[in-house]
Amino acid sequence: MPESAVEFDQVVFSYEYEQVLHGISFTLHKGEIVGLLGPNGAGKSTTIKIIAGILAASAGSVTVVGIPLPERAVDVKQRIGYVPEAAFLFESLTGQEFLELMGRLHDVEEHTLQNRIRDILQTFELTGDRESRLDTYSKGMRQKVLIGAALLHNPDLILLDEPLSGLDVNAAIMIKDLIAALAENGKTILYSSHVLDVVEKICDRALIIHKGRLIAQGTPQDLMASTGQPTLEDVFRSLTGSTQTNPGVQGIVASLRP
Amino acid sequence: MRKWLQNPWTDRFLQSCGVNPRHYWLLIDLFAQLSERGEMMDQLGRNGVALKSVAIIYFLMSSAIGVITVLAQPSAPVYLGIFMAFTAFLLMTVLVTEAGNSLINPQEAVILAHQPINGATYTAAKLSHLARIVLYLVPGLNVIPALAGLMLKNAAWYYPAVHLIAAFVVGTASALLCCSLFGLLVRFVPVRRLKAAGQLAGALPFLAMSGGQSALRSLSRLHWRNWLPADPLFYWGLAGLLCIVGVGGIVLGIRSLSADYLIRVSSMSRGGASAGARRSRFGAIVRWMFGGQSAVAGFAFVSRMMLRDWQFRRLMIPMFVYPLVGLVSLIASGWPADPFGGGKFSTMHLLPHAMGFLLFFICSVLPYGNDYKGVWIFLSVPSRAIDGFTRGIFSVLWINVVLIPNLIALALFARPWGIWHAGLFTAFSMALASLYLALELRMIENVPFSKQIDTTRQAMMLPLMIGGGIVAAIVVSVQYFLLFHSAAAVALTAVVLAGAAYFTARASLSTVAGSIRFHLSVISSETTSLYREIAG
Repeated sequence: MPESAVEFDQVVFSYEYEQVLHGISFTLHKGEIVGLLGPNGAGKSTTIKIIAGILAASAGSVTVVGIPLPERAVDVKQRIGYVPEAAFLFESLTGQEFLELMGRLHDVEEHTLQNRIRDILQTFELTGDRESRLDTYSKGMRQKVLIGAALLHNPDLILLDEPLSGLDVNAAIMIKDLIAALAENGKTILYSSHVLDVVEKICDRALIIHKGRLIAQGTPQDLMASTGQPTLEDVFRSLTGSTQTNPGVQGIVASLRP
Repeated sequence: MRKWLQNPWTDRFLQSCGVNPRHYWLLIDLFAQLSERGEMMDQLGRNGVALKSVAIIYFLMSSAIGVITVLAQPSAPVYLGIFMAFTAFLLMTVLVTEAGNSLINPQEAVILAHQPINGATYTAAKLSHLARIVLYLVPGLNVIPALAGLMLKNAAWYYPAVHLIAAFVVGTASALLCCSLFGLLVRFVPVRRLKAAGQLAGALPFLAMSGGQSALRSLSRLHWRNWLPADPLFYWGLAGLLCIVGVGGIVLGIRSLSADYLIRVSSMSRGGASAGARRSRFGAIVRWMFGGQSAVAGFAFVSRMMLRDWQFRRLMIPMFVYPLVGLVSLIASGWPADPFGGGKFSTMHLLPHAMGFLLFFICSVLPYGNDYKGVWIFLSVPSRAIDGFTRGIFSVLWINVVLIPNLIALALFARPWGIWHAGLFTAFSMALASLYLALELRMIENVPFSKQIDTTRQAMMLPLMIGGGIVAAIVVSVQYFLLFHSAAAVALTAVVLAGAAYFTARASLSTVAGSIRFHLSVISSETTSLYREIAG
């Protein structure tokens, strides 16, 4: 039995009066790359935020690397790396300053921190921009800084919410290689994305969430076999009820005609 | 100061309070850096220029009050009591606002929420600037009154020292009380109600002052001294009990900030999802009166943001407390007299000036908002639409602050005063309030809700408001003593004021539209213009 990195048991979550997660259960094993799929508003980001200790579940239990949440959220945060969906940054800091801040908040020893920052900036081709303010960075550069910040403290669990957003093709390929290499080194990765062919290629397993419920989980091959669909995208369409061409599209085009 | 404070003793003290010293100093440095670079401008205690400006204003104000009070020669304890109450009130108005802004609206919490920082460390770092406010404002408010106290009869030579020590104790207690208040709110108020509760908390010092005055009046009417025992031990016991309850409440409140604060704040960041989708009934009127879809856009945008923007609501809610208290006491004291009645002063004379005061405050805070980064959307708007948009801004303020309250007044007073007097007063009041709006509109120098809150500007509001109050008092006197003796004179003045309001509004609208275009061109020149440049 492989060691579990995340235990998500009958988790319920509500924002104000709206219930977002309806008793979801799953387990992530150590060294696994797991894709988290679902349409917009399905509850993917909420699931990730609960695992990251940012939100507290309304009911159910969550443990991350054996640590219960939300009681020991600070300890969990020490062991995870999180790349959020939206690239909120302190815009007036430089790339170097932002990475230093994040590393120091995770108590990374200064010499190690500087070495890691240097390596990350070199790998992401940001060395020349290290002293530029983040508000001058492009969307892709910001995304690279966020990914770098999530790795600085050598976390056991890495939560990636749309990590390839804004990246150019070369950077996206590099990130995919990086994810695979991290998993080989025993890191657990939860990868939320709408780009299904990437999930199909790099993930060991996929979890599909729809309207706050876990509707399927398994390896991409198992999901394709069980639904009789040729690709993960077709599996997704069939499970979430989205058709090949949305009739609403024609409606929008028609309404634009004078 | 920072280097002097960071030492093993401070770190040990922080640790004993559950604060991680390493993280605490990192956050202190981060907040200082962000404030210095103009990214975090909403905290007075981190803005040296604004803090010094407020301290100087308070210094001048309290010096004048100190000298006047000394001339009345009260006893030393009464004099001390007056200034301690004054210090507590002014500090609380500033500290409640600052603590609320820091704890209920922490923009940076979205970025730091997944970092391994405990609640105690985060809130301690966030609230450290309150200590700086106390250190600046307490001497500003008390140095001259403390020295002036030496001129009181029977004042001891050491009175200034006693006064200043007492002022610092009051200041520290006020700061702790604020932290405790918000700790209790964070702990006990449901997350979805927390933002609204934080905004209402800003009105507490004003409510406490109004409520305190009413309570004292009621107690004196009840001759409460006759009901209580004369034994001094009773009062010592009562004071001791109140101290224990107070200290217990403060400790409980502050401890509440150390728990799952960051988790509750993260949940709160999604607050306002159920804002409702009411459609304004004024859209068609605005389109007809103020011209086109862009005016409707301005009307809809400003009216909805006024209801939903955290900073705007936070600043405006305390402004409604005094008019509300005034309204309640007006109702309690009977129907306002007919302003044309002759002889007796009618409180209704104040109505257009109260509207002018409210409009002054709204126009001065309207350019600032929580979602100021959304201003980029206006860069994609055709330049000519800005004219209509500006008329839309005017329409919101005119309809909601001038037209509707005056029509309500007309409906209320038509019967007791007669339709002729009520109609003429309403026409006069509307014309005067419209002129106020036309003049004050120029304070909107950017797209509404498109700038980060600026504490320096806020600090300048108090003297402007005092100056405005003096001007309004003179105008009310002219109104009462000279104008309202003749209905014809009032009618003529109303026509002149309406004409002046119309032409001034046209000129102001053109100026505001030009100003908005200029600021948008500055923003479009480079993205970094959204923030202040790093010095050097």
